[in-house]
Amino acid sequence: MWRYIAKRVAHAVFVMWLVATTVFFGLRFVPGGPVRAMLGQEATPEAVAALRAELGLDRPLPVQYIDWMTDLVVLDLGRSITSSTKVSALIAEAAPKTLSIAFIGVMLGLAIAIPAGVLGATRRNELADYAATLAAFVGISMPAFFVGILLAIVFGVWLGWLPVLGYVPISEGVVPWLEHLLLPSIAVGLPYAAGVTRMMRSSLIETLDEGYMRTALAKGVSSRTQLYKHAMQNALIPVVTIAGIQLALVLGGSVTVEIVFGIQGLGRLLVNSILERNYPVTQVTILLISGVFVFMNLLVDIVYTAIDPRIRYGGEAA
Amino acid sequence: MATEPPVERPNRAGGRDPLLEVGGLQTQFPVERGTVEAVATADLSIEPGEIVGLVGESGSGKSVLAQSLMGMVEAPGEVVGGVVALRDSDLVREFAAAFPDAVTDVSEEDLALVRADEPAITSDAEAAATLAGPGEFVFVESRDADGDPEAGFVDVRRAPEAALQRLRGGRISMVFQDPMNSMNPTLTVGEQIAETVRLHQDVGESVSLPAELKRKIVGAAKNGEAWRRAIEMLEAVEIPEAEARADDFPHEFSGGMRQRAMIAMALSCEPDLLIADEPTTALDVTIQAQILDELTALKDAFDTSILLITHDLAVVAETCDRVNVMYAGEIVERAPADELFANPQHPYTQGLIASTPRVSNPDDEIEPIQGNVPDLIDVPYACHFAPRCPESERECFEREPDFREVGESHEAACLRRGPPGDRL
Repeated sequence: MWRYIAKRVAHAVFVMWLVATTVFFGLRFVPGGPVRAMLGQEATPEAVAALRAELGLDRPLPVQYIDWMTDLVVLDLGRSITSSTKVSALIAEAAPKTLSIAFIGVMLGLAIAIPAGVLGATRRNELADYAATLAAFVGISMPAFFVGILLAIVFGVWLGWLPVLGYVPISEGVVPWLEHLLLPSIAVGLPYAAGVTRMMRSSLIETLDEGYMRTALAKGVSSRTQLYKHAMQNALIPVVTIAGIQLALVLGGSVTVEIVFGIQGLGRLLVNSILERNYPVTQVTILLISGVFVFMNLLVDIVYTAIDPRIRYGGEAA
Repeated sequence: MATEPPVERPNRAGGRDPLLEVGGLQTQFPVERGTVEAVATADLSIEPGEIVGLVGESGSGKSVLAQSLMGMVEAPGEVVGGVVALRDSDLVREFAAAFPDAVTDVSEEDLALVRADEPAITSDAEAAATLAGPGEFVFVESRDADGDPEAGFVDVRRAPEAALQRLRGGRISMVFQDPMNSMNPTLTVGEQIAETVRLHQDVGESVSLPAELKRKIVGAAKNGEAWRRAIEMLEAVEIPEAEARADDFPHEFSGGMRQRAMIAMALSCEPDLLIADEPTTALDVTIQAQILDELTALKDAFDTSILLITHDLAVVAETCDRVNVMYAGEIVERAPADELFANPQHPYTQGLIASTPRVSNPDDEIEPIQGNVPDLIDVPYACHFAPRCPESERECFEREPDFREVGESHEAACLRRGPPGDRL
């Protein structure tokens, strides 16, 4: 098992390096640069050259790359080009908002998806199943920001139950924090729940059809124990995979949804920094988002070892 | 009726009653084009300690028959008629106490009346079943001086789910064809056996869902009676280092070991009847022989009868006391195993034996039976084998074949067999 986990960790580190490198070079191939963005089209070549030198952008690309990499390793994230604020400070300001939305969204999503999928599988072709399947289909077809707009109109504007703008830090109270995050979280959680529900349903249906479920029946196991002791763990294996992969949907969704709800999170930071060609900020923001994704999927891989004994004892090939 | 004096039943005295008596069993699957009669009126009996074979091609309905015996036919299939009588006086007492509303007393006189009315009914169980009221499935034939049930049977066909859960794995258990797929990959082998013990034997370990889930997370108690019993069972089926291997997951077992573990699981509660559905089909030939030998030995050790379902005549010849041949949802011939192979009577059985290659005579011509097993949707002809039968006549398609004596305890359902006067 430890070999398996070590392998997964090494894999995750490699993926992060690949993301960092791609972002670094990718950004520099985008036309325009921070200097033009800051000084405008009218700037004299001298002013441009001076600023480039000041920002270190006149050095050869490989040198800049190695510089950035060594800074990353010692966790020095650099400063914003436009405001010379520390990037780490910008991130510390924005990240909790986006990650809170994503976290609550995932929790809500799973809390909806697992029971809905189980219901769909155990009451196959009954009303509850049709309702869950239809809801999942609608959910999977709508992008999070669109769900967000609908929620804001219904619960914020028409019913006036929840605020539709802004963010309150958790330090000012859990309730106001949750009130401000609830709608955006639901908006990212619903499309996530839709995908997981479908997987839960089909995986459980498949599991219930397995030979070992017939064995459980033949042993005299009650139908409830059959479902929760014999079927669930097996059915969850592919669900955990999807729940991990679909996190990309949640993170991507949070970035757009927070803009709908006027929350200054990573999404706003990312969009602005790209427009300003603010390389250090863009790089770190993208790296952080993909880092969260990679880390969550690493967790998923580790969760596997808990639910699938074939991996725990035999390595992933089993 | 409980006050009636116990009826003297000479045929019951020596315990010669069949353990399992299946009469007129009918299992159907509704499909779009009509109704599949997977089992169309099957009669079968198994005596205590016997190994009875059920032979037939794929699609003949043998597995569905087996599932019908345990009340586990998969939806939308349904057992629509017949009786599956399991004769076990302990069981009758247990169920009479647990399901008092489901008990019905039947006397010899009642049965005589039924038999007089319906001469087609030959077995006691089938006659008794016609007297059952709604929800009644525990049949008491005689009571002792205290009024406690002494003899009788439980009709599995009429038993409700709660009763079936007690029967399955406890009184009737099953071993399936594919050992690779029949064990749960997320539970240890020991736990899968211990669970059966916990469910059916009073070992003082709860089987409620919270208790089972807790066991799943923290593991089963290794000092408990159920776990100890699981290890004993693994030893009984000759798994080496049983104590250590009980902690293994099924994927760490080989195919033969998994089938042994399945047998251990099935026998762990000393059931009256073990149904083995193609237990060796998925295994290597050498392992096949070992498993069959073990089954035969364990049958005696655990005082169990076995219904062995197979398409392999060699397995039957090797293992079984008596054989039932099944074709297209119907049993067509039954005889002691030696008698059947020495003197097959039904044209289907004859064809089946002629189409089996023999190691002793590899140069023998193999004669396949012409045609295919019909799909069983609303079969329009009386004898299901008639279209493929080399001897069939027009009447075979029109008149239901009845069972005829064709030898010592040997019957065949064919109009062209039996006493010369009856023959077509």
